[in-house]
Amino acid sequence: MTDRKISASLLYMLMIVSALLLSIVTLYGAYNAYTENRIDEANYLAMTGIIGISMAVLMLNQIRRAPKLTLKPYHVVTMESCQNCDFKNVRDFRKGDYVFQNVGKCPKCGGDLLIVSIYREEREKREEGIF
Amino acid sequence: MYMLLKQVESSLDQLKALRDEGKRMAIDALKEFGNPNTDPVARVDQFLEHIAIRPESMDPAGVVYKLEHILDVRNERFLDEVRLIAPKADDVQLHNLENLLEAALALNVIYKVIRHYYLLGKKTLSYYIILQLQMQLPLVIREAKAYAGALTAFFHGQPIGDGVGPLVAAKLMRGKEIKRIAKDIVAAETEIEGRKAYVVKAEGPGARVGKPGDAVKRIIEEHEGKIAAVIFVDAALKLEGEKLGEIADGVGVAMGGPGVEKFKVEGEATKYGVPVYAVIVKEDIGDAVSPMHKDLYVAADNAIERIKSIIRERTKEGDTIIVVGVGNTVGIGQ
Repeated sequence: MTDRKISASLLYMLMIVSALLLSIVTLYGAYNAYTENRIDEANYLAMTGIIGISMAVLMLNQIRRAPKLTLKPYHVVTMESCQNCDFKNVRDFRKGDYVFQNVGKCPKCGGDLLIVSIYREEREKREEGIF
Repeated sequence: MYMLLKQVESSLDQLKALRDEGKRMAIDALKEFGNPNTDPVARVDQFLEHIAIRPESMDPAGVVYKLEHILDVRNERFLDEVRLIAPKADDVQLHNLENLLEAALALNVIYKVIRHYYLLGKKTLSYYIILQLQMQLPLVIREAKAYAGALTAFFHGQPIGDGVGPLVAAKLMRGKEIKRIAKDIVAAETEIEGRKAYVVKAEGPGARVGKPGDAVKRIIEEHEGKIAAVIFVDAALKLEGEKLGEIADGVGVAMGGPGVEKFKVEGEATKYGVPVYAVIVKEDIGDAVSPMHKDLYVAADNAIERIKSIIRERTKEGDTIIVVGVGNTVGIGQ
């Protein structure tokens, strides 16, 4: 199965490379025809060569592998806040944390320290394009 | 045709990687939280193939309650399965693990459906099957990535974007006496803008959505329909171009899911002529199921202001109202 897959891809690549080479030869022919003052033939060959190269490049571009999808873990932080004073503390999220959990006493005034928010620190960088 | 097939194949590889990651994470979590006596791999494999068959709707009368029954059985079965694989998990971990497995199951289904159409298109050499698949794949990948984001949130028990409704409710019921009034649902009686308010949410901090429809129905019936307004707060999918955390309000029951709970509330509100209002917090699918974005905490405060404004404008002092925070309450207590 994998061998067949590889040989099919190889054949397809060979076809594209052949088309690319033929297009380059055609462009060279166009150059020769132009130097020999066969303008109509030169125009025709140049147009064919350019179209051939464009299509080969497009096809090569389209079959390239998609970027590998990686799952980057989010950086999640926990914000603790005192219910009596303005004390706030932001730290890394620890398993078992939840919003409105009482996590002890405020080091500043001794009031109740609550988790008021748990959030991911910055938006995950979106991967551009799928193909 | 060859190029299209290569593109689909490449995306299929990505979906497979996500599916495998989901499975790996589920197994790791079950081993970590549950300390199972046996290797959970075979059980997880079996779980990922779980199916729920919708009830027959040729005669639609009563189909909602049949669907509710199927969903109840499914939920119980999932929880029993998790209890069996991870016997030492506590109640919060149990619900988190169940949701984690559900996210892994969703990734498995997406992968298998896409693989089905890919192989079908390849086998029949149908250009149109492959073309349709290729056109839809960017959206499918987006959804799969969102579920992959949910895996980490459920694994660690972190609040997700969908929890903005329960977050609003938790802020409103803070410091009041809390009672369980329906399956996995808690409520507190409080005062908002001079009105008596029942605030309802799923019981946290485990990953639950509960049955808010039953809770609202119970409160309305206990008051014989003398409720001035029911206000639902929920996360809703934003359109491209809209800002994350934007607030909108309107009328109707803001509640996602299979529709059973929504149906119950609509029936009860219609029976007693209770006005139903909705406040929605806009977010995309990625934000809804991945760890909560900081902007959504600001949005929760804005949603509370909008609720208060609806209460002031649409009800009178001394009225009784219900505020329901709809969504998954993972990582959010009360």
